[in-house]
Amino acid sequence: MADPLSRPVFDAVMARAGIVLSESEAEGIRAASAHVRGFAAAVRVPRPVSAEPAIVFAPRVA
Amino acid sequence: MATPTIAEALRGFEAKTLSPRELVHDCLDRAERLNPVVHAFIRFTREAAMAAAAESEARWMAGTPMGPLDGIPIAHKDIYETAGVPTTGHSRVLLDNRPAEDAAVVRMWKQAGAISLGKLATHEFAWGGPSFDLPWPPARNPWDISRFTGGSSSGTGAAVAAGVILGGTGSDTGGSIRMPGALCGVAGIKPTYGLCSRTGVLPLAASLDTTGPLAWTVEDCARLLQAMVGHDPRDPSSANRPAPDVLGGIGDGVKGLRVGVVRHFHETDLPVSAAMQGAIDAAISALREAGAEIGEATLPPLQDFNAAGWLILATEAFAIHEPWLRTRYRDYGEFLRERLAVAATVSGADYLQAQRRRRELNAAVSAQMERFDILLTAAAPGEARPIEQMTKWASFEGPNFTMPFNLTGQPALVVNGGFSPAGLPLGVQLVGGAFEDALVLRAGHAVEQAMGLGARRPKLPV
Repeated sequence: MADPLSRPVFDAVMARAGIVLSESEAEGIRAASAHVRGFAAAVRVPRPVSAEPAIVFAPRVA
Repeated sequence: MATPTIAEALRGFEAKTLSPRELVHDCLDRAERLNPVVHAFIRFTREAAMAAAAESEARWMAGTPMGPLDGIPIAHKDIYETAGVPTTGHSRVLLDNRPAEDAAVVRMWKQAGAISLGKLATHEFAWGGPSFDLPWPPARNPWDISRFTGGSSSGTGAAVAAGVILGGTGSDTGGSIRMPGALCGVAGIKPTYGLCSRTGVLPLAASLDTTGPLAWTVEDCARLLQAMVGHDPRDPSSANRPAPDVLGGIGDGVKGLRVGVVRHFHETDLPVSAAMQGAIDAAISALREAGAEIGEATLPPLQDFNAAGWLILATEAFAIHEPWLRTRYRDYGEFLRERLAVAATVSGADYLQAQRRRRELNAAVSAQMERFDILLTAAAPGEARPIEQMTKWASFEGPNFTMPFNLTGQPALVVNGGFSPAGLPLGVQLVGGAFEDALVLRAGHAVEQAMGLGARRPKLPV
């Protein structure tokens, strides 16, 4: 499992989003940010720098 | 009155052996009696339903039904806007929302003659559930009311399984039609992305959201889907192509169809229960005996689809809810507001990397679809779990079988494949190429016909 966001970074993100949390809420949500960090690591696979972002349907190769 | 299928009801109306008014009345009575236990509905529209049923009956008696669903009792997930009837998303945030217009699909079903009995429970805004701190309780599974229905189209799955509606609307962003379909033992199709309008449906994640039906049988799903397909210029995701016939060939069988079993999904990536494996094997046998050619498909790991899918879903959902989160954070239920708060931690780069990954995953699936017409895997790991075991972070803690086909946009159907030792349904998932919805329904119908499970209904608690 990935590490959650650090507390300073998490606090900055919540402040930017305008979300005000109690201490226990903040720690619970921060801990869950580890899942997102894990997902973010998983989608960073080696690929050419010019690889385009996804579209819903892959174009058919002629 | 035993609940008929849509096909049976239409035959009964035509033969004048079944009255739309009596059917709607009976469904409403049973729905209202059951609701304090199953909580499938959050609002009934009895007066309007009975008035519509009387009009339908007059049309049938005159031999002039207004459309292919005339007199059929249905209901709408409460993210579908309904003119003059509150549409809340099962949330305190929209308690006072009374839309002026029907959603496009609501209008299309109404024009086909379907009669809405009311609004159905959903996970809050199609993501936050099952929650006990919302204005209405979560829906319960009619097969065992201590169990989860699956979500987010929880009320639709429960109401169809309970036999108090013949079909209903759902929406599917990461599995929200197929999960309740699987756990409630009903059929449900997530159509191809862009096939059905989303105009007037509260969004969750725009690049994944699809509208679709749930019903007791695959054929009924096809009837409902037929009445909701077609281009809608008001929906920017809507595919500008002719509406397909998804019903006409449903009985044509599967002879020669190439079916790829995505064995690694349900055997390695997320191993299913023994009973679920049995249901999958039974579905494969049914297809083979009906003449399908069975092979094995290999896709990227399930976890890869879920990583990209959840990053995209979370980010797009956060973008929609961001203004309300700033001002009405405490009006959301705990599950949704905290999931959305976690979603706020996804960076712009994370989102774009997820979209790049989506592109690669889609290419991998497309390559397999050159070899197969249909993919087959589980819809859920096993039977419905006790509702109190469903945790706030469950979506993030492990992959699901449904998200891959939200990423790819392909049509995906759930059909009941059997029952667990506890008597709970086990859903099998069939997936086709983009805009091959008719083929998916045809394969699902063949499985359903071969397995013959449709006569088994839940024993209702009241």
